[in-house]
This record gives sequence, C-alpha cells and structure tokens, in this order.
Amino acid sequence: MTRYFARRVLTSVGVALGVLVFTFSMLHLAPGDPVIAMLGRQAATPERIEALRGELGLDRPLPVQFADYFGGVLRGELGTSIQTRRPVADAIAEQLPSTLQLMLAAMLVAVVIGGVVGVVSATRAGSRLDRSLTVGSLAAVSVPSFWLALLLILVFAVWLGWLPAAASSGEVRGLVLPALALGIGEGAILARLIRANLVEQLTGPHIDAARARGLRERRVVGVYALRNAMLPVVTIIGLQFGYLLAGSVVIETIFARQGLGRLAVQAVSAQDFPLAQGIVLVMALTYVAINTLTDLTYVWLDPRVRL
Amino acid sequence: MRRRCTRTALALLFCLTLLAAACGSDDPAPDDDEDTTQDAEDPGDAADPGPVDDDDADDLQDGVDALATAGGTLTVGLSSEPISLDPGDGLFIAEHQVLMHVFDTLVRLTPDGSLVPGLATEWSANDEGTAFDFTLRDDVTFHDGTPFDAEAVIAQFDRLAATTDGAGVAPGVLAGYESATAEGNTLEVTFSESKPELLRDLTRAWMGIPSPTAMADAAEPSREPVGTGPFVLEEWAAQDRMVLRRNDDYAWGAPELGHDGPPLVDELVIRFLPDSSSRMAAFETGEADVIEEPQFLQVAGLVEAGRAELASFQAPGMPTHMMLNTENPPTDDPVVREAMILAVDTAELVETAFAGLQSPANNVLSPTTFGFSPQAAATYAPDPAAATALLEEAGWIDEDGDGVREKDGQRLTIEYPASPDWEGAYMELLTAYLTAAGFEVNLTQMDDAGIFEVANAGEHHLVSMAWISGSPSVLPIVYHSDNIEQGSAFTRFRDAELDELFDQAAVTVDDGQRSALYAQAQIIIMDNALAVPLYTLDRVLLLQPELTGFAFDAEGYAWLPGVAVGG
Repeated sequence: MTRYFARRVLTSVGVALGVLVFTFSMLHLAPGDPVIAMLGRQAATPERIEALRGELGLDRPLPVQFADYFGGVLRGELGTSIQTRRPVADAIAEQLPSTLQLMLAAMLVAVVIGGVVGVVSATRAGSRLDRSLTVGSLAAVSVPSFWLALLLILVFAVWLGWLPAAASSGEVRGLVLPALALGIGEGAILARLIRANLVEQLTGPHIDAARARGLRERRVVGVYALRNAMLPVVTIIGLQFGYLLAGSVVIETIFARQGLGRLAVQAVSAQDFPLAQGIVLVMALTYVAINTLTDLTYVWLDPRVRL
Repeated sequence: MRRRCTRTALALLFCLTLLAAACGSDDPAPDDDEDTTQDAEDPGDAADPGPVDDDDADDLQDGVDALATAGGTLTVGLSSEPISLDPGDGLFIAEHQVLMHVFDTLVRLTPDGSLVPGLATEWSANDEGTAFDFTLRDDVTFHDGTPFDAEAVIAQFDRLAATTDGAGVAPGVLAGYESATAEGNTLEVTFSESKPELLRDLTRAWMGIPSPTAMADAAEPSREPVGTGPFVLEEWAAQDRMVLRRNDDYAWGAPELGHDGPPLVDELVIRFLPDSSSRMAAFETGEADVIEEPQFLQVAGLVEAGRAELASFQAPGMPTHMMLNTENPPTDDPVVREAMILAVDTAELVETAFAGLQSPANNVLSPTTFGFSPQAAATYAPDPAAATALLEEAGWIDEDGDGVREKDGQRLTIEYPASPDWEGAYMELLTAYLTAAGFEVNLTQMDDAGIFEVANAGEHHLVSMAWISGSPSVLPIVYHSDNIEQGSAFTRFRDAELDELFDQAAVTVDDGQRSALYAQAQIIIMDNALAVPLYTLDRVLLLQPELTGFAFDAEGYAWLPGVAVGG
C-alpha cells in the first residue's frame, strides 16, 4: 500500500512536470502577446509595449523564464497574474471550490441517471422500454452540453421560472441546471456501459447458480451481477471527471458561474501565462488525485486486486 | 411508475428539441425585424435619459422619492468584469462603469457637454492652459471616514504622475505634470505643456480621487477601492459579482444627471455575465434589472411585448471605421479608397448586423463628440453604383470576367486582417459589399496582437478602429503622421497640414478655436478618403419596465443612483 502510494505520488510529479513544460511552451509559442492584450490595439505603441514587457520580465529568454517559473512552483509559488497582478494561488483558491462543487454534482447526476437507466434497461433487455431508453441515451450522448444548457435555461428558468438562469455561486438552487447540463451526457454514457455489462453478467453461470439457490431477484441483480458489472464502469467514472473538467469551461461561462474553467478561458485569451499555467497544473493534479481515488475504489470492489 | 416517468421525460426532451428548433428559426426572420426595430430605434425612447415620458417624469420622480426608503436591490448584468478598481489602472468599459459609482471626479460633464462642479466647486486656468486652480468642497468624506481635501488630490496626482508602466488611461491624462500645491481648500496644478483637454479629461472615472489613507494601507489597491462616490464596495467575488452598498452620506452629486443625494436603492449588485444568451435569460427571468449588450435580434420583441425598456446612447469618440493604408497599392490610389467608402451601404449594414441598434457613421468622429464636423460627415453618401462607376472611370475593369477588377495587370486585391471578437458581426458583410464592387478581399481572422503586428508593418489595406472618448484628442493618436512608426496611425498618411492642425489643437485653449481646428482635420481626413466609416458605438441597455430614474452620463455609461426598483 505504501509502495503503491509512493509510486502514485512519483507519477503525479512526473505528470505535473510534463504538464508544466507542455503548457509553458504551448502558451509562449502560440501567436499573440499578453502586453497587447492588456493595452488594447489602439493604445499600444512599441514604446509602451517594450516598457511593460520589461516590467513583467517577458523580455527575458524563454528558458530563463521557465527556470524562474519552475523554481517558484517548487517553492509553492504559482506567481502573479499578468493581467490582474494578483497572486495566481489566490485567484485559483477563489474559483476551485465552485468547479469542484459543479463536478461532484454533475457526477452525481451522471451516476444516478446512468445507474437507473442502465439497470432498468438491462433487466428488461430487448423490451420496448429498453429500446426507447437506448434511443434516449444515444440522443443525450449526441447533444452538446452547451446546447443542452441553453435548452435547460429556456425551459426551467425563462418559461417555467423554477430555477435561476445565472445564480450567484453559493446558491444551491443555482447548481441544479449546470449539473444537469454537464451530467446528463455522461450519465447516458454510463447507462450504455452499465446496461451492456449487466446484460453480460446476467447471462453468466454464477447468476444461474444464485437464482437456482432461490435468492431474490433484487439480490441477484444488485449484488451478484451489478457488483461485477461495475468494475469497468468505475474506471470510466474516473476518466469522466476529466471530461467534466473540460466541460466545465463551457458550462461555467453559460451559467455565469465562478470556476476554474471560465478562469482558464480568460487566462488563455489574455495570454496571462502564469495564471493559465497555474490553472492547468491544478487541474492536472486534481485529475491525478481523482484517478488515484478511482483505483482505490477498484480495490474495494474487487478483492482480487491487490495493491 | 418509474417506467412512466422515464418515458415522459424522454417525450419531453424530444418535444423541447422540436420547440427550440421552431423558436430558433423565428428570430432571424428579416420581415419581423425590420418592422419592430423601427420602434426600438425611435429616438424618443432611446435618447431619453429615463424610460418615462417627460410629462409624467416629475410626478413619477415624486413617487419615486417617496419610495426611497423602500430601497431594495438593483442588479446589473455586465458583459465583462473589471480587472482593477484602482482608478489609476482603469482602461475598460466595465471598469469605468463601476469606478464612476465608487469615486467622484473634480469636475463633471453634463450630457450636453458642459462642465459642472464635482469635488471642485470652481476652477480656472491661465491663458496658456498650463496652470489650473481648483476650489475644493470641504464637506466631503471618503467611505473610510477620511475627510476629502487638497492633500488627497495631490497624493493621487503625484501617484499617477509617478506611474510609468501599466495599461491605465489616467497617467497619460497628467502627461507634463509638474506639481500640485495646496492652500487651504484651493489647489494649484501646473504642467510643462498646454493642457486644453485637461478639464474634460478630468471628468472621466479614471480620474476619481481615492482615499489617501486607504491607498497607503491597502494590500491590493486594485481590489480595495475607497472613494467618495454614491456606492461603497462591500464584496467582489471574481467571475461572479460585486456587491455595493448605498453611501448614506452622499450629498455631492449628481444633479446634472437627474438625481442628487444618496442612491435610492440600498444595494447595487453587479453580475458578470459574459455569455450573451445567458445574459438575456437572466434579464428575462428578472434576475437582472438592467443588462448591457443584449442580443440585438431579440430586443424588438421584448420591447414590443412590454417586457423591456430600451435605453440607447450614441457614444462620443471615434465610431467603428476601417482605416485605409495609403502606402500599399491599390489603396494608395485615392479613387480606390473613395470607391470603398461609397461601396458600403452603412444603413443596410447596421440593420443586418445589429438589427438597427447601432447607427450608421459617416465621419471619423461620432456626432456626440466635441468638435464633430457635419461638413466632413457630408463628404460621401453610400452609393454602390457610383463606386462601380468611379472604378471603371479610373481604369479598374474586370477584363477576364472573374469578378475581380484589374488595372495594368494589377488585381484589385485587398488584405483585411480582422478580429472575430470585435468584428465578427460585420466583417463578412463588409467583405461582401467590397466584393460586389469588384474587389478581391482576403479576410484573415486573427487576434488583436496579430492585427497590430500586420498593421504596424503596413501589410494591411484596411484595419478596424474605434475609440470611445468625449474628446477629439484621440484623432491624432491614429491620424498624426508621428504615430506611423511609433503607434497606431495605420493609414500611414503623411500630410504636413493635417499634422499642423493636430499640433495646433493640442495647445489651443479656446474651445471654439480648438473645435474649428479638429473640424478642419476631419475634413482633410474625409477628403482624402482615409477611412470607411461604418457605425457609431451605441451603448444599448435593456431595463425592466418597472424601473425608474435611469440616466446615461455624458459618455453613455449608466448612472444608477437615481434608479428605483419597482415591485
């Protein structure tokens, strides 16, 4: 177990380093200039650009800038935002809770939808209900989340007036629509996966054996079949957190929520290097942490797996 | 039961899909829009500072004042978020919009362009415009209890003058600053150069005066603004909102905008809603009482249904126009440039691209700007047929029938670097007008930095320009030949007479003479066909119908202390 964790931490460091090098070069090699983004095209003059670039240290050679930045990260400093001149860590700490909240809520939506639809479909495989659920899941997977978000706003906020369209962070009611918009598509994927695995499990000899012993159908499905069927699903759920992180970029903008995704968009469009790098780093570490948790869940679900 | 629910949910989803598709196709129907936007554009509605009729205004204002104790919360949805609330850093619209409610300026500008007292009750300047005396109010306190006095102004001016970096506007306003000295309640400020525009520049929110004690103590001045204004900043949650509380002591502004004394609402909440469709949704659900930049195609419908009031203001400064490169063939030929101006039907352009909610421009200054020249504005009237005739006459003829004119083996090809962020609404349309006249337009989409690079190197033929400003002094920044190598003079036009007019205007203190100099400059710019004017930057806001007391300030920013929320 200790060895497993040591390996995991080492891998995370490697991932973080790779992410740092990659985002640093991507951002700095991309066309554009944070200084012109700051000044605006009209007010920019070569003199002002030079002065500001010098002040921000952007006139130094790239390797020097990277070494400087990397040294800071090792000391736990993420630097200062070019645009707002605030510490990057503060800006991220302010936005991270909202994104985590959204991801967890969306995952809850996805798991509930996926679980219910998947089990219902599998236990009635081939029925009309199963077929319509299949069509519904396919539709839900195909619908882009931003479009679903607009649709949800139109129906539940503008027409019905049940939920806010752009709630302030901290308002629980305001979490419902963003979580649905982000979670429904992932839920549909889970539903397809659970259905397929469960159908396969339900035809296995251990199920026949369980039924032959007179166990109740609920126990047969819920324990004997579902637990086995969930093994690959858990891996997928871990991976889906990555999609949710990516999806939060759009969803946070549409619902005007606080969050890292929206901050990332702003940082990249303003070419605010330190901020963008900090966000990507935190996102990558979050992702690694979640996948570590996923692997631990695997151990719990499947006693054959040892760490 | 569960089975039925899932089925119902599925059915609902499909119905919604169909409905949404049906609604979507309604909006862009051109017939609907033309009729309804006529009403929306009605100047009676649009230019009036408040959404109420003049006759009823007094009665209503009485009623509103009676309601003043009712207070309530006013929620405003902005499309972007301020980066900094340190006035010295201010640059963007969102920043001005907030700063003006937290800080006061020495002098204020009325919507008709005259200067009225702010924190200064009187002022005077010497004949050269290099020294200014201000008499300051002695009954003003900052939000933190610090009394306002001349020392506070001196501290801020010294601080701005010492600022050599950063993107803010304010340090530039004080260019040539020598010193400020106080004697009791009077303040003398001297400059090494003539400052004819200083007083007008001082009316902008970036010239607001912060509390010197708060500035000295603040860990992050950009996030802890302490001024004397009608609202006090209480909370700023980035990417979410700002909460501002009424300053109960506010007794020094702004009668010229229809309301003096403390704001009517208890609380002003500013939400940052970058996505236009969610901004619209927040307005339609009533979560926002006021929004800026609504989706233009939907405005007319909401106004007609009585669910929104439209407030619109033609901003002063340079309207959106295309600067033409006079050094790069074929736009080095004045005839080609003139044909480009004539080819663009600006009235149709604003109707198509903005549902008529922006106004056609015909000059490099908008009509609400000090020094605007009607004569320059009358130089051209859009006429695509005349554009074609002009080109034919000059020998630009499409001989090989590929739709592009040629002359002496040279094709009529122009390079158009465009930013989809700013020009997305019209760049294709503009391209279509020019193509119809026989141009080949190479539209290349890039970001601001890329455009600056291309235009600074003179590789473009046309590049967009726009600048909100109460003063015509922005003109030389982009039309004085000194700024060709060192700035944004993207027409690369060298004319001694034009430069001289700008130089003269910069040191002419007399308003009438200065205005005449700028007028002459506009005439030269338009006579030489240096720019294709497109549309003036009209600030468009939607207000909930029950709102009263809304006003625009002189530059078209929303002034909110007089607003009362109904219900």
